[in-house]
Order: sequence, then structure tokens, then C-alpha cells
Amino acid sequence: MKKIILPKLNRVGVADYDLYREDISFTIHEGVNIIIGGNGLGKTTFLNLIIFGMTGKEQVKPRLTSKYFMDRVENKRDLFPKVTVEFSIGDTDFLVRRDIRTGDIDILEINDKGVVAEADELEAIYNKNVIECSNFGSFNNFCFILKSLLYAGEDRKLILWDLKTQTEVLGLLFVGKDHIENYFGLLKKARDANTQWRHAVDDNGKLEDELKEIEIKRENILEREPIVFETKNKIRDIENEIRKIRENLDIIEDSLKEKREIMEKRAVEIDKISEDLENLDEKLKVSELVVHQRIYPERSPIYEEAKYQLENYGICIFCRSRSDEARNMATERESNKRCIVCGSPLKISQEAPESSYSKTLGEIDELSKSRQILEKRREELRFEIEDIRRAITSAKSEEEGLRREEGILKLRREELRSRKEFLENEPARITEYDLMIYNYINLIEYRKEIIAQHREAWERAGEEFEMEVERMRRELRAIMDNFGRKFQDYASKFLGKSCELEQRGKRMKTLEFELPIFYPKLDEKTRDLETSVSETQRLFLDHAYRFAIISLIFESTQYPVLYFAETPEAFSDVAYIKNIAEMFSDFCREGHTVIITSNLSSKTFLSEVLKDYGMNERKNRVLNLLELGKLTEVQEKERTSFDILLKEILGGES
Amino acid sequence: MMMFDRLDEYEKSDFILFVLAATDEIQLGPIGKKQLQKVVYIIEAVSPIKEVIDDFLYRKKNYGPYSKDIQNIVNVLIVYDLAKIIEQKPFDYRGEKRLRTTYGISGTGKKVVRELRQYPAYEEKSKWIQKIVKIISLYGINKIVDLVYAEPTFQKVRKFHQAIPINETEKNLSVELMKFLKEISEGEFEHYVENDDLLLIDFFDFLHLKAFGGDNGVR
Repeated sequence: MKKIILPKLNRVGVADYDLYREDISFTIHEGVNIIIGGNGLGKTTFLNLIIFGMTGKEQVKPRLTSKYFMDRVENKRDLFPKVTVEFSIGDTDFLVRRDIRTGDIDILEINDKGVVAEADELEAIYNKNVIECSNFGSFNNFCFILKSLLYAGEDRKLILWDLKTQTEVLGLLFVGKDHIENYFGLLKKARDANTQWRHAVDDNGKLEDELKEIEIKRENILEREPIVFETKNKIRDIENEIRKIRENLDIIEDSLKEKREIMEKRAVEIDKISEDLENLDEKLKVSELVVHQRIYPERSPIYEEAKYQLENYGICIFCRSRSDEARNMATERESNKRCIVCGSPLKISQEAPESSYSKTLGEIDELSKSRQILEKRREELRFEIEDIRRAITSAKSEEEGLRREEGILKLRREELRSRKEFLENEPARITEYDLMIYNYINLIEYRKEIIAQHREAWERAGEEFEMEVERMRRELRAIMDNFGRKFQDYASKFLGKSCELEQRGKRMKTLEFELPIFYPKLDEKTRDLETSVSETQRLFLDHAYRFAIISLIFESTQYPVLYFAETPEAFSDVAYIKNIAEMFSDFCREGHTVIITSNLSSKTFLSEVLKDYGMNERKNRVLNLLELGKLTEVQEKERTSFDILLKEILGGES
Repeated sequence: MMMFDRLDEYEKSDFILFVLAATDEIQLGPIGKKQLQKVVYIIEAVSPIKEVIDDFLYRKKNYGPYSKDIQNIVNVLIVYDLAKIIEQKPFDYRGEKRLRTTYGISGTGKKVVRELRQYPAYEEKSKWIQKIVKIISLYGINKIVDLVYAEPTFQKVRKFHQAIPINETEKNLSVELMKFLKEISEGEFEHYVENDDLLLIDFFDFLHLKAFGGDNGVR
């Protein structure tokens, strides 16, 4: 499927790094390479320096930082430590030199050609070239594979039972970005074709509906002649009715006008009568006053007697006292026409002659009679006005009713008129409709062809997509079968008996098919937990799994790959040492480069993995950190035994 | 020199003279100062249905409705020898000496009444007053106090010295009461509407019922 190319390491150089007593330049050979050293002499740091050189400051875990490297050295000020890695991806050779203190690239050579640029730009150029050569979608993916698949570190992090890492690794290596793009492209194409076909069908449905409507309209026009005639008659009837109502309204209006005029006249008359009555009342009051003055006595007899007694005898009739002073006062008051008791002016009546009094009586009689007549007339007029008012109200409500009726009739007439007009114009449209029907039929037929084309395109795209899915499935299945066989080879070599891989499907989120995940099957039993096998088995089954993946990649690219294994012999059971060494040798026979670190704890393992090489070659394949590193006192004391051991290993068969 | 210079004063005088003449004619006997006030008040209370009586201003006193006008007119009538004091008896009122006065009509007064009655309008007034005094006499002049106290317009006035709106047609509750009596009676008697006498009797009967309960007390 996808051609992922993994890196192969050629040389490592470390300069000015205080952890080592000298600068190192270590050429990596095809096959096994061994870093020998005691605890704390910088074996792991050396491997990490290689990875740091290749990946730099990227963020994929476990992160390597400048601080990590600088914390390990005492002299930090005077030195400018550098690491140089030379490796190839496919046919492209890379030389990268990084400043360990800053992590920046200071020398970059691609295919022996130096690249000149600022540090940031160099990093970008380097990343871009790595992505292009390795076929990974991103530099992060490259780093991830380097750190997870190609580096079996001292932390013993397994990928065989780690489903997440396993899926990620397999996904990255075997289902590439371009495949997914192709897959989704085909899917979209199939969907789009389907949508187009459906829209075309809908459109034609609409056209057919419209055609039906037009046909119905055409039919209706043919049936409308009698309706037009009927409508004309109806309009005429309504107009007659309206005319009658108008006549009635005119009559009512005339009568209302007449009634209002009468009412106004009567009101004026009432006003006149009321005025007359007021005048009469005034006159009556005057006459009545005259009558009263005539009937009532003019003088009080007591006053007259008191005056007489006082004026003639000076005697007060109330207390019987005599007083000249009182008499004089009374005489004086009398002559001045004032009250003899209080001295106020006397009210003098105008003596009316008998004849005028008789006349007054006659007047009252006459006035009273006139008054009665006027009042009666006023009452009559008021009743009349009330009657007229009632008549006006009823005429008004009749008028209102008629107007409403007229309004309704007018609306109905308008409605019929517009209907008549519409119906009269319709026949002219028949030709128009015929033409439209002809056009619609043609259009529908034409569109049917388009629908067929869309349908064909949709079916074709669907088939293409299904084929692609099937092809991807098939390829994956083939790869995985092959993969299973390879694992079985490696694992069986190590275990000395058959060990298969059991596949279980795991569906990827966005794809139509499943990606397999694997568990080892040993003694007919699937070991789906890492605790279900022994520690040694666990560790070397994981190596076998990684070897199988790398072999698979190698099979398709034919480019050997770099592999790190930290102290693989450390946990191995003595019984399995040979088998393990055999598994590593087998792997190396494909041309891969394996870098093993060792603290000389298993002489047998080292001797076994180096047995294929001659004595001189063995020396070149070993980087002896006992010489380059800074030994502790304990290590210094044991130096001799270390040297003997190393000599035995390097001496090998000889 | 003359008695009054305004027509309304003469008309008030006519009113008092007609009342005194009626008490003489139906032999009600002398009428006391306060009894006269109450008789005139009750005639005024029912007057709007006839529109023949002129206005006196009444105020609520601790002994019932009282109008200064009435007493002034009575005094003038006595001085002009149209009315007379029948009796003046001293009596003790809470340790104070007072006079109890009763009035009657004089010979000159009777002559004036006779002359007034020659005019139809005055005759009608006089007859209406006579009718009411006659009804009062049926219950006895002594019951006039209770009848007036049962009159609704007087009852409604709570404070002493406050004016009694008996002359304002809208506030005169006796008129309302008589309208009500008329309405409920119209259904029962065909010619009730034209007969004011029946309406008057009903009205006084109602006042008596209010003052004394069940028995109407008519002698």
C-alpha cells in the first residue's frame, strides 16, 4: 500500500561534550553495533544524543531537551557541545549537526550538499526533506515512529499490548494519507452523483405537476361558456336591486330633510312661546303684587294707635308712660315720613285708583287664560317634536340598513364583473396553453435522458468506491497475513516453539473498514494481557513484533532500517540467550542496523550476536565507553575484570 | 305706608294665613309656635307635586325644623291684626321662665283669606293646604312632632343648625318616597295617578307607620 521509508544510521559524532573524555566519531555498520559501558557512563545518553540529533526540539514524547543533556555534565560554560548524525532515508543521505546547548541545527548536508540558512530555516528545510523522503504526513509522525517503534528503551515500554500505540503505528505505516484522500474523494464523488440524480428526478416531478395544472386549466376553459352567460344575468339582477335601493334611499333622504325642517320650525316656535310665557309671568307678578297690596291692610292698627297717643298726649301705649321728648320726636319723625318708633323711612304705597285696580283684575284673568293656552300649545309642540325625533331615528336605521345592503351588492357585482372579464379572456389562452403543453412534454423527455445519465454516473461512482474499499481491505489483509507470518518466524525462533498472532478487528473512526490489532497466541491461548506471559517472553515478543513490522516495511521498500535495543540481555533467562541472539542475528541478516547497549552482564549474549563477524570487524562494531566515559572509583577498581571480559567477547572464537 | 314691598313676601304671608285659616275652619284649635313651624314644614315637604308653596329656609334645631321667616311673618301678621295671639302662658324651661304662645286667625285675617280665595290660583293653594291640615288633624296635632321626625329629608340631616334641603327637588326625599308610593300603587288602582288625595294619605300613613309601628292611629 503506502511506501513508508524508515531511516538507517551511518555515523554518529559527539564533540566537546564533557560527559565523555574525548570526542567520539562512531561509524555504524550494517548488522549489530554495541555500546559497552558501566552504569552512568553514558550509554543511554549516547542513544538519546542520536535521537536528539535526528529529531531536535520537536514535542513527541518522551521529550528530549538540551537541559537533559546539559544536566549530565559538570563543565557547562567553556564548551560548545555538538552532536552529528549521518543517516539515510531511502536514497537520500542526511548529515545533521546540532548544538546540544540550544538544540539548533548548525550544519545540515543533504546528499553531501551543505544547506546555508538561518537556524530556524535549517530546521524547516530539514523537516521538509525528512517528510518528503520518508513519506510520512508530518515530521511528528516520523519522530513518533522513531521513538516508539525503532527504539526499545530501558523503560521497557511495550507496543504489543498497548492498543493505542499499536493502532497508531499500524495506521501510520500501512494506511497512508494519500490512500485516505483517495477513499474520501471517491466517497464524495459517489455522494455528489447521487445528489445530482435525485435533484434531477425531483425537478422532473415538478415539471410533470406543472404540466398537469396547465392541462386542467385548458380543460376548464372549454367548460366555461355557460358560466359566463349566467354571470352576466346575475350582474344585471344585482344592478336592478341596487337601483331599487337607491330609489328608496332618495325617498328616505327627502323625508328626513322634511322632518328636520319641521322639527326646526317647532323648536323655534317653542322658544317663542317660552319667551312669551316669561313675559306673561313678569306681567302677572306685577299685577299680583298690585292685588296683594290692595287686599292686605295698608297700615297696622297698633302703629296708628301708638302714633295717635304719642302725638296727641305724649303717652306710650305699650308702657303707659308720658314723655314730651318722645312726643316731639314722634311729631318730627312723622313730618319727615319716618317711623315714629325706629326713625326708619316709611314705605309709601302709590294709591291706585279703583278703576285701575279693576283693570288689573281683568288683566290677571286675561293673562292667566293666555298663559294656559300658551302652555298647552308648548306641550303639544313638545310631543310633536318627540314624535318627529322617533320617526327620524327609525328612518335613519332603515337608511343605514339599505346602505349596508347596497355596499354588499356592489362588492358582489365587482366580484362577478372581474370573474366575467377573466372568463371572457380565457378562450384566447387555449392556444397559449397548447404551446406550453407541447414545450413541457419535450422538456420532460429531454430531462429524462439527463436523469438516466446522472443515474449511470452515480452507479459508476458507487462501484468505483466499493472497488476501492475492497482493494484496500484486500491489500491490508494480505499485508497483515504476511505480517503474522513474519512475527511467527521471529517469535518461534526466540521461544523455540510456535507462536501466532491473533488478529482482532478495530474499526477506525472515519473509514468503512477495520484495522486489525494483534495479540500473541501461545499454547493455543490468546495472551491478551501483558501479565499473561513471563517477563522475558513479554520483552522479546515485543521485539519480535517490532522486527516483524520493520521486516514488512523492508519487504516493500528494500531499504534497511535502524533499530535501538537497550541492554536486551539484562532480563533474559539464561536458557533463552541463544534463541534471543539468534532472533537478533536473523533480523540483521535483512541488512538492518541494530545498536545494542550493554553493561557486560551477559558475555554469552554478546558473543552470540557477534559470532558472525571476524575479530577485526568486531572491534569496529563496539564503542567502548569504559575508555571514553568517566569511571567511578568502584568501576575503576573493577576495570581489569571489565577489560578481561571485553577481550573475551571481542576475541570470540579465536 | 304698606305691609311689604315684594310679591314673595306677600305669598309667604298668604301661606301662613291659609294655614291659620285652615286650623280655624276645621276647628283644630289654637296652634303653638313650634307646631306651626312643623305643619308648614310638612306641607312644604310634599309641595313639589303641586308646585303651589313658596320657599322658607329651614335649619335643624333640637326641637325639629325651624324657619326664622315663618316667625317673622307671624309677628307682622299679629301687628297688622291679621293673626292673633290666643294665649300666652308662662312656663319653666330648665329653670328659665318662658312663654308658651298659641296663635289663631283674626277677623281681618279671615276677610283677607276670603278675598284671596276669589282668585282661582290662590283658591287652589288654599284648598291644598286645607287638605293637608285636615289629614294632620286626623292623627291629632300632638302627633305632628313624630310625623315630622319620621320625614326622610329631616332624618337624613345629621348636624344641628344645618340647612334642610327640603326646597331642592332632587334632595327632597319625601318627593322620592311619594314617587315610589305612586309607582307601587299604580298597578293596584286604575285612577290612582289622578287622585293626589290618596297619595297624600298613603304618604302620611307611611310616616305614621315609621313613627309608631302597626296601628295607623287615625281617629
